[in-house]
Amino acid sequence: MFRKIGLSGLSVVVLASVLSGCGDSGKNAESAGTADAGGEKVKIRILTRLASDQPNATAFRDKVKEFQQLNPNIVVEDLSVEDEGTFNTKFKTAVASGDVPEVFANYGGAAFAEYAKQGVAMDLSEILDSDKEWSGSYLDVFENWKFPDVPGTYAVPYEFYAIGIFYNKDLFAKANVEVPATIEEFEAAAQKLKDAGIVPMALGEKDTWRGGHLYSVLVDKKMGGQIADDIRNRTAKYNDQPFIDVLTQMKSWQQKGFLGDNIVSIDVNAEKNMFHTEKTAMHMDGSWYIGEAGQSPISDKVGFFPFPYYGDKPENKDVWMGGAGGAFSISGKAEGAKKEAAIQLLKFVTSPESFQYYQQVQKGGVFPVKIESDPAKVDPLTISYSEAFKDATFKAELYSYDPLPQMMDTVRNGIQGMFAGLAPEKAAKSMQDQVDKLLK
Amino acid sequence: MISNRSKYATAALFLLPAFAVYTVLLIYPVLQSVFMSFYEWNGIAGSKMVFSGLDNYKTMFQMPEFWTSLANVLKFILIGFALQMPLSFFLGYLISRKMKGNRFFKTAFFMPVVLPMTAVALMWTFILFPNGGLFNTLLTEIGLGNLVRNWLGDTTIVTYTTPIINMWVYAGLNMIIFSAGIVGIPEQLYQAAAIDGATGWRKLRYITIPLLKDTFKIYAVTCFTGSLRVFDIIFVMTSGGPNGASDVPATLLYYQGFKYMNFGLANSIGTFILVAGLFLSIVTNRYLNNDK
Repeated sequence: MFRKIGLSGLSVVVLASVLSGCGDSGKNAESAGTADAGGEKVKIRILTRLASDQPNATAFRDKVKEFQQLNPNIVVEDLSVEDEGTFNTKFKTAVASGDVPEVFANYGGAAFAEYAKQGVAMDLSEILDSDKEWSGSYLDVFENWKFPDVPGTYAVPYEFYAIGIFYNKDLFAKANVEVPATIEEFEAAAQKLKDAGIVPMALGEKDTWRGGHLYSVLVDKKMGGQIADDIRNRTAKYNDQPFIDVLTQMKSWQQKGFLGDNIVSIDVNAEKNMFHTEKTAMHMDGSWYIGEAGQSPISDKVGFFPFPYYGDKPENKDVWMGGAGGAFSISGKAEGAKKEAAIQLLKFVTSPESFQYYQQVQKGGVFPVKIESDPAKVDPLTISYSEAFKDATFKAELYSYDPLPQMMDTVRNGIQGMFAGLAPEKAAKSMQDQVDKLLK
Repeated sequence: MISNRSKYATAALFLLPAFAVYTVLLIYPVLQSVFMSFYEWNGIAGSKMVFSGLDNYKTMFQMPEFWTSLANVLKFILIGFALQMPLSFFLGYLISRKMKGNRFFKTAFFMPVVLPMTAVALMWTFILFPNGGLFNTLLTEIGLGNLVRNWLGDTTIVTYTTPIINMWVYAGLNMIIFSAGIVGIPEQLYQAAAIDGATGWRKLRYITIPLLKDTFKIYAVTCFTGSLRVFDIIFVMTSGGPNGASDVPATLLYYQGFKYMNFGLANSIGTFILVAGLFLSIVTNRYLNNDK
């Protein structure tokens, strides 16, 4: 009988073991693969989130295919998955088992410093310095992959983003609303849209990053770019009054119906669907959405404007949430022919020519490099977008500057909790409590 | 004649492959999981594991979200016993009777078990969608609009919604367990009871239920262990939200390990699930032991 009990009990931990038992002390450090020491075929693996049928992903895959045709001796195995959660699990499992794909995507930030320190990602400084023709085309967007206590540059960005507001010109006209420049004008416009029976700016807060983005943008506009450093240095606290004010404002928008109904049950896809079916007049998103907007049923009605600023804080008008998004790193364990092949692929997919190709396929889009855009092939949305942020300074999501990796979820969940009923003061306090607890 | 010793050697040889697979795929990971729960490790191969004694367990018990997750497990267990068990028993009783359309009902009730949990969870997410979801629309249409709720977005409701969906999925499986138990009861007992004048309800009360003690024991053990390790339905339907309200130990384990790189803490949660499951299984077996 006891054995029976034991077996049923053991089954309890199967999930736990599968999820957590994969770590070891690095005995499996040598990466798998079929690299041929004789120099015939080299196999490298790439892990990105460019796996969907969206134009940005198909364009990238086209380039990988082209690379393979040009380099028949290199076999590229694409392990990419689009879903963020699945991607993270796949990547972290690879890190834990010491078998990281030769080229992998990541988003950098303070949490990535540990990977840089432990040699999960390779320092690319030398490679960048030795090929100025390639690296010289880049904008100054490497901040997320440089760390104060780890010298070097650990990734090459392939995405550039800036958060603003896409809007439906027809719905604005219907409600007799002008494009708002300030937050105060935004609130007045939202009220008018609401009165006209239109959801002003739906928010799919089931995906907690939606509220996180709104919060970060508002914090930037209220407190300026310096606040990121203050959070990093702990000279600012998440429950300081200006943060509570921002949360209170977000809550009031929810209560007034500006963000739609039951927002914590709606995900980003439902949110976009509302925009595409003209149920909501505005959609806050990054520049990666340009391609999708161009292919949506309302493509000819979509316009763009920068996120409004606080009328009493004009000095923060040009602080945008944005910067380099995704980037490619090379595994710190890659050696010999695999390393060379990985570098070759990295340079190929991030060359100015490749970015030009991505822009053409997406009929627009902004990138972290200086490229000549062909106005005949690039949509007006990209042009207005690029115009809007030409004087901008970019800051990533606020909590990505926090050295505690838990804070991203803590802040995002706190915001979701607030939308689900928690008072703004309590939500802010729960965020700071987590910092205090983790620093103990 | 083959000696006993040689018989054992042959048996051991045949058992060896299964034992090896079982050891490599289950025993070893479990032991490693327990071992790692006493260390701090950031999830990076090659980085040092630092012995931390019981610190991970201390942290775990100090986490308010851990207690929330246990409270949610308790709700799974309570709903499992209060609603799922009677329902499964009733369905099992129903399909064990000789009646028309028996096979159809058996298949229909079992269908949710066959479907992938992710698909089921997504389907219910859409059904429970607050705006335009089937369930709320239905409530409104039949004049019960005042009962319309945000079933997955309200922190006070979501912890009951998910166990009920879980019940919908597993009632079919438990129906089979109960049905197998009912079919195993000798027909003569019912005939003898009928001669003594027992009616349908009395037969159920004095023959069926007492003779299903073992089946109820199996149900109790699977209910406890299943509730403790529930993961997929929560992960797909709510990701533990809103704001961690529907988290269960397995989602916390996942987040600690794969999001926050606290593999030691994640393993201590895994070990807790193991120990709690074992403990509840032993207690259940002891209290429902037939020999006593």
